[in-house]
Amino acid sequence: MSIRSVRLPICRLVLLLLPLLLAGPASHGAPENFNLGSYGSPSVAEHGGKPLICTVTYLVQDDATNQTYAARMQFEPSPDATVGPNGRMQCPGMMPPTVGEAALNGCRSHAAQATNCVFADMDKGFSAAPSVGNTSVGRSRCGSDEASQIAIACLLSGGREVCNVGCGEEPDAAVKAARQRCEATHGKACNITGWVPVEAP
Amino acid sequence: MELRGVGPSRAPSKTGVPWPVRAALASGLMLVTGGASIAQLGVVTKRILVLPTRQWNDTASTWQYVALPSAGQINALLGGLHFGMTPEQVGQRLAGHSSALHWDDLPNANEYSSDVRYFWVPMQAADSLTGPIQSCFGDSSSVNLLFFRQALFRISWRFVPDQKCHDASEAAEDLYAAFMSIAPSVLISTRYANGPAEVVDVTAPNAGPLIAVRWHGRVR
Repeated sequence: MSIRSVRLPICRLVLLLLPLLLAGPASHGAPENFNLGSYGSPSVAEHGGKPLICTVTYLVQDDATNQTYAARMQFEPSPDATVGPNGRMQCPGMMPPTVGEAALNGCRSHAAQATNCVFADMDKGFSAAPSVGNTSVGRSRCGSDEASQIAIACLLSGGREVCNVGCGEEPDAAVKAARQRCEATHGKACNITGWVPVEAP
Repeated sequence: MELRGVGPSRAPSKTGVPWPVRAALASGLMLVTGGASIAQLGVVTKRILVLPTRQWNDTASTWQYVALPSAGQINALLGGLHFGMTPEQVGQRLAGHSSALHWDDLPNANEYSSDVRYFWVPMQAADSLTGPIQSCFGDSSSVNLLFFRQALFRISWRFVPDQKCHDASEAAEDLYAAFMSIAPSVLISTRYANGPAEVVDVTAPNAGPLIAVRWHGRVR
């Protein structure tokens, strides 16, 4: 084998690896994309025999009956899905509106009127103008990558429950977060509370 | 059986207090349901009903239910009845009723503008339809079976309080929660209050405009 025939493959290898060598870890600090397919780095498919998946749970409320529903949404991990430092599958940073709408639809299928169903995290003006427009879809959900429990805390206003949502690792932490948010938003004690695990058993 | 009145009302209609709160007050301090207990003085814990889990693909464009109850589980909840049965078939399945139950003999359910007919059985005598109910209900509570074109399309449980059971909302909640895991494409469950009665309706998804009619639902 001549020297020339050895050098050529080495040069090619260096050229191929050059972009990788020059690339730093910059992408890790960047905000999450809307692209649900790009979760990031490689995944651990299972943990303790249970597949690692992201579950995002929404709390929605039938405003006519004060019934709260939990709508669990699981997401299939993409081939390049990431497991976070806590060992949990990362959830998408942003959620398409269709997912929140599906949560509302879960309530609507049990409601006398579709307009009775709202997200459970309610703005300050909700009791004066109760509509889904005065609720927050983003604050009405918890992802399994960041919390194990989702909770609601409500106060009664003229027979209507006015509520907010909190996330936490334990039920009492989630309830505390929901109560704090409710009391800060509405300025009154929020003593009606409930919680469910984010993930299905 | 009285079938007329006003539309489905806000749950607190009975006492002016929503049913989760009412139940908690009735139980003394607080009601704990669902997950593990968080005992805090003055805090009322409400039940959150969990809808069937949806599994989305990785682009969140399509979904399917993760797991749904089997036909056997649904059959057990409905006491062996299924939608589409004739009055005769339903009569044969219910204890205490002869098979001589005929469409022509059934009274009209006046809350419907269509020709809907019904019969009812006392809830206490409908063991096969009350499996999930753990809490008390009054003696006047009933299970109502509604037919359209000779086919069963709705089962309506009507929980009424009395001297022995001052609050039947817990019983209604027990039953309603049992139907939560069933997709609305299989059956549609609704819960509402009507005066002193707590109502849980389970309706065939193909019932068309009849789905929207609730007990006392039509304004006259």
